[in-house]
Amino acid sequence: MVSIKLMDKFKPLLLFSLFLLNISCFTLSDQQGVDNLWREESRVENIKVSETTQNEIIELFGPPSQIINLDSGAVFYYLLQEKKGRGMFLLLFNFKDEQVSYDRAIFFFDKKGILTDYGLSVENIERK
Amino acid sequence: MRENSSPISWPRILLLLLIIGLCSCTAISKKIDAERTLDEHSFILSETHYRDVIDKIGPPSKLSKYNDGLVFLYESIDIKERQLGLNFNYNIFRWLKFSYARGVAERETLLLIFDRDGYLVAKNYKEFKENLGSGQAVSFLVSIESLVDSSSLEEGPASLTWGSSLLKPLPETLNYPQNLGTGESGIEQLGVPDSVGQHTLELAD
Repeated sequence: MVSIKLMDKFKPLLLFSLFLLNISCFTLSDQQGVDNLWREESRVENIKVSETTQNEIIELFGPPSQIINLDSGAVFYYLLQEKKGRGMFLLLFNFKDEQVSYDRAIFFFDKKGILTDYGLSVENIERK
Repeated sequence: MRENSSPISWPRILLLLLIIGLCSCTAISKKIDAERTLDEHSFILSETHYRDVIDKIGPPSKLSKYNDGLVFLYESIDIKERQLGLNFNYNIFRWLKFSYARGVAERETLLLIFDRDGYLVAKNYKEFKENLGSGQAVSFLVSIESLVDSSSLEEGPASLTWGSSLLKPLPETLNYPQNLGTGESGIEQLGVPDSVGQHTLELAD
């Protein structure tokens, strides 16, 4: 009888301990694509519209993710994808959040291979 | 008699709930390219050049040549899935949960078409919700799995998957040069069914 009363007294504590024991969490991070060298100012300041050639862009940033052949000339498209996630298992309630971000750079050339325009994405992924 | 009847206390109610059915609800969220703000109003037909667009909102999610000019497609997706889970604290069922899930995708799409000189000739911005349907499953209690199929909205850029694309079924592999993700043959939004349009060449179900 005494032990049952004692159990009743500590039941909330036992239940709370059980709840705490079942907590687990995780994070995930993954990058895919080319190295986003266009975030280095020393490289970007070498780019000059109407002067820089395709070869110079490749030397600065490496091979592009995609080359698109337009009628007016080529487009070099650089892409870095980052996936970040976190989750928590709380037994009664679980959640998982994932975010996919892209860091992009794009370079337009004329038919002679001279840079006509370029642009960088607003998103900036930190290099690892 | 009344004095002998046990009063209902909150630990007992809690215990009863644990025995009858332990809820194991889950919220899954996935944001794809959702950091930038898309807006068509700041772009004016026949005046805005593609360089102005890139300066303002950065390179597009997809681009392709289009007649003599080019086309930009910006996409942003926020997938939300809510799961209701039930667990019975009895025998082997205590290690399993019975889940029901519903999913919805909040999407933003901005399409911009430029002429051969690079000036805007057509534009459209759309913000809409897409019902991803529902799913049910019996799974291990300590697991977080998506039960709603949103894979068609989560396809990565073609440039990151071209290698694995060579291992796809033969009709799909043979159709790759005309693929709408390469930038040479047009563009398509994420989530387009495989049994329509250009994809019919892939003989999908």
